[in-house]
Order: sequence, then C-alpha cells, then structure tokens
Amino acid sequence: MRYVVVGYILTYGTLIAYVISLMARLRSAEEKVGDQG
Amino acid sequence: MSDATRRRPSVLDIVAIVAVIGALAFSLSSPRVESQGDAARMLFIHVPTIWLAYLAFAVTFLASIAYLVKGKLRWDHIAGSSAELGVVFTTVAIIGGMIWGKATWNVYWTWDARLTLTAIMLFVYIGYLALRRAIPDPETRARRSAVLGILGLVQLIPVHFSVTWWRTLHQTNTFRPRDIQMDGPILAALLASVAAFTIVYAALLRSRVRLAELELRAHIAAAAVEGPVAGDAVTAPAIGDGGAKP
Repeated sequence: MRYVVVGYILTYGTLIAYVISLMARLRSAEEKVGDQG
Repeated sequence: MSDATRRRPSVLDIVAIVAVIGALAFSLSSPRVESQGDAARMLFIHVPTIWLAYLAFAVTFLASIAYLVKGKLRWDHIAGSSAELGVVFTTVAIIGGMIWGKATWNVYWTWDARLTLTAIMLFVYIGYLALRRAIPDPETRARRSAVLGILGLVQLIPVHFSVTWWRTLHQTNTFRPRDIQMDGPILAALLASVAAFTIVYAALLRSRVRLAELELRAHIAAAAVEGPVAGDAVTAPAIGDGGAKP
C-alpha cells in the first residue's frame, strides 16, 4: 500500500502541478493581451 | 484586463474535475487483485495516462497534416498543445509504471523494450517542444514542427507492439478485446479511469489551445508596436546600376 500512496501522490501531483502552471500561463497571457488591447 | 479576454471555467472544466475525483474514488475502492495486491491500483493511472499519450500524439499527427494542407495556424496550435499534453501524460505514465515496477518486479527501471522505447518517445516529443520554442516566427515554427509532428508518430507502432514483437519483462497489452481476463469491478474501475482522464485531456487541450491563441495575439501586437527590426531597415543594393546613386 505504501507504493500506491507514493505513486498516487507523485502522479496526481505531477498532473496538478501542470494544471496550476497552465492556469498561471493562461492568466499571464490574458493580462498581456488585455494590457495591449 | 477586460472580461472579454479573461476566461471563466467552462462546463467541460467542471465535468473533468468531477470525473477525475470519481475515478480516483472508484480506483481506490475497487477490490484487490490477488496476484498483485494493492500495487495493481497503479494501473488505474498508468493505463489511462499511456492511452492519453498515444491519443495526444495522434492528435498532433493529424493536426500537423491539417496545418500543412489548410495552412491555418489554429491547426498548429492544436498540434503543439496536444504534444505538450502528450509529454505530461507520458511522464505521468512512466512515473506510475516505475512505482508499479518497484512493487511487483522489485526494480524501478529496467532496459526492457517497452520501457526504453517509451522513454525515447518522450525525449523525441520534448525535442519537438524545444524546436517550437526555438523558432519565433509563427508560420516558420508551424511548418517545421508539422514535419516533426508527422514523423514522430511512427514511433508509436514499435512502442505499442514491443510487448508482442519481443520477449519483454513488461506485461502484454492490458486491453485485449477478445481475451479479457479482468474481474468485472476491476475492469469497470479501469474503464472509468480511462473515460475520466480522456475528459481531463479534452479540457486541458481546450485551455492550452486558448493559451497558444493568446500568445499569437500578443506576438502580433508586440510586432506592430515595435515596427521593423534593424535588419529589416537595411535595403539590398540594386543590381545593374553599378551601385551609383542619383
């Protein structure tokens, strides 16, 4: 069970980290385009 | 920032969150597999994520062809976005597979044909993303990366069939429609995970394509403000007039 817990944290953690980074990039791009517009 | 540029969570985003939470609950509550114990629960992540890696790279392949045929940058945005998601899902599949390998084979990694080819596929698509970042002009980037996006898919065939072509430590393909050896509740949990992660892929692709479109708008706006760069202002001498000026 120890491997399963570590595995779920690592895999879901990687996906969540990507989603957070994508949202941050999206927000930054929205602000950039908004400022230019 | 205006409301027109800010994006609010869509129905697809909310469905993706609910689906992935449901799949997580489903996979953690499914019955134990006697032959593998709890380690088999890693397959509820490993199998859907490698399936999505295949799907993502296939979408890159199709969108790259569509770009070369139609010439619309929208297709390039889809190709690049899907490749980025494919890299993320391949990474997650490898991490999940390594944890499962340690629990069942007692090693995190072995130079088995399936594992090695999957790692090579990951590095090729990281190279594809690096190529995209190295070319600032959108049209040139789209054309050159479309060629790699098409060629890159060739690897999927040996990756997928490596477990049948060669004698590998990795087990044969989990989904064999004519030879299903899983118990009903375990198969249901696996299919639920595949469906949930596919919805997550669709939601992420939509957001990533929007990011690509915003980046293009920012690039065009910045180019219009800055005007021609120094190199553009240099005019080539006219041939045939001996270089003489009036």
